[in-house]
Parts: sequence; C-alpha cells; structure tokens
Amino acid sequence: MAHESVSRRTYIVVFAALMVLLTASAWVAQYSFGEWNLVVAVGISVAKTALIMLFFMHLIHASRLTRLIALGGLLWFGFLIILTFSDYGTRGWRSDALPEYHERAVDRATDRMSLPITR
Amino acid sequence: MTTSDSLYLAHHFDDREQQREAMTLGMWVFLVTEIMFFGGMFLAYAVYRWRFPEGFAEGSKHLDMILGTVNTGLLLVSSFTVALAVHAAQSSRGKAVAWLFGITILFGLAFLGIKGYEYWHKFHEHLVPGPHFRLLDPHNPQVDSRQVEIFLSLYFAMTGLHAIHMMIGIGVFVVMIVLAWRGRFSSEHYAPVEVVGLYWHFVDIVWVFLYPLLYLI
Repeated sequence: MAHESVSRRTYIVVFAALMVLLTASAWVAQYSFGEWNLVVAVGISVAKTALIMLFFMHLIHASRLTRLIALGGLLWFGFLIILTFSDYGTRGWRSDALPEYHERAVDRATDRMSLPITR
Repeated sequence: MTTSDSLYLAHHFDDREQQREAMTLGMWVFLVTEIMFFGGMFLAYAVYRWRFPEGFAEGSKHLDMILGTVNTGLLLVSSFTVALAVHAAQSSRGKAVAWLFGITILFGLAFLGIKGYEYWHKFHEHLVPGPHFRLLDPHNPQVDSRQVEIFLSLYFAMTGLHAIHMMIGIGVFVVMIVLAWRGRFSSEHYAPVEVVGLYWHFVDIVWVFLYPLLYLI
C-alpha cells in the first residue's frame, strides 16, 4: 500500500513559514536581550528544524521505528551536552580548584616574597 | 509481480513498501551517526563559547551577517526544491525530478560560491587561524586575540565540514538527475530520491544551527 504523502500545498506553507522564521531570526539579532539572545536564536532554529523534520523529512507520516531512531539521535546529542556541562560546569565546586583559591595562593606567595622588601 | 518489481525489488524484501521502509530507516540511522559527528563540533563550540564569551562575541562581529542570512535563505529554498522533487518522484514525474534537482544544485553552488568568497575574505584579512593570524582592528580592544582564533578555528572546521557534506550531496544529485531523466523512478519506486532528500535536509538543518551560532551572536 502506498503510504500517505505530504501535499504540495503543505510544502509551500512550510517553506513560507521557514522564510518567516529566517526573517525573524535576522531581525531579532538587531536587538539585545542579554542572556536571552542565545535562547531566542536557538529557539527559532529548533522551530525551523521541527518543520523540516516533520514535513520535508516526512517524520509526520513515518513509522514509529523511524521516529524513534530520529528522536534517539536528538536524545543522545542532549546527553552529550548535558553530561559534558555537568562536568565543566561544576569543576570549580572543589574549593582548591576555585580561581580565587589560586589567586589567594599567588597573593600569599607574593606577600611572602615581598615581605623583606616592604618591611 | 510486475516488471518493475523484478527490476527494483531486492530478493530479501517481501515487497516494495518494506524495501522503502528499510531504506529510509537505514538513512535515518546514518543521519544519527551524522548528528554525533557534527555533535562533537557543536559541543566543542559550546564549551569554548562558555569559557571565552568575549572572544566569541568579537569573532562573530568579523563575519558578514548579510552573507550568512542570504546563504541560509539559499539552503532553505534548496530544501524546498528537494521536497518538491520527492513529491514529483512519488507522482512518477521523472523529468520534474531532474529539473528540481538541477535547481537544487544551482542553489547549492550559489551557497558554496558565497562561502568561498567569505573564506577568501578571511584569508585577506588575516583571520585564518595559524601563523598569519592577526586581529587587526578588534571591536573590543580588550579581547584576547587567541580566543578569537579559537572561534575562527571552529568557524572553519564547522562550515568546512558542512561544505564538504554539501559537495557530496551535489555529486549525488548529479547521479540522481541522470537516473531520473532515464525514467528510473516512479510512484512505485522512488525511495532513492527520498533517501537523498533526507540527507540534503539534514545538511540544511546543520546550517540552520550554524547560522545563528556563528553569525548572529
């Protein structure tokens, strides 16, 4: 049996939506939202990706197995980012690894070295 | 069993639908490995950007946002023409498949042309990482040029790897045009067109993320 296919009309609507999103991402880049810049920019990219994957790549009509594989790829990429940052992001949590600790150590060393001169 | 069955159905499949399903599934598995491949680079970008935000902000200002936006538009149009080509193959319009892939190649080449111009410009401005790297007129005079060099290393690695993927895609499209012109695809047998389409859409998605991460922030 021939499977369902996406209509040409849907492709045109999706393409128009992608162009609107592209204009939006270029437009909002003119404004600064501080730390939200990244969230807004990547958010628009995620929306574009969702449209491309669902309609252009036919995930909307794909079998559960195909969808599972696609989702698995994204999930593992998520693991990659989350586990790496739970390492890098928490390295400073050991008190002797804090930059301030080293600065203090350097200060103490400098103090010691400069002792004979200042006194 | 029709003639096209015996021609295009491999003996280990029960029917064409099963064969098509296996082909698209296989392509998706390949694309997952590609997510891991590009994922490592996106991870490197994320870690360095988190570590050196000033260098990345500075580096991004040395890229041409207009060219980046135009290139994103070109790739989105090319994905649209690929989607239409798959649609044409599903309705047995072989000549239309060939034309649409031809248009896709033109958009892909336009993208690579702009990319090449950008690379040439970077060489000209001494912004290519290596012994000749010089940050001549920084927007932020306080920035450490080595951080900017890391940003540009990632820029070249990521856009370069992406461009290689596009060149491979364009090569495959050339083969597909010949096959489509000879009437090798039909509503009964269009899985190869669909599979190539999946690859191209994936390459498009990679750029959809490279564009804001490199050009906009």
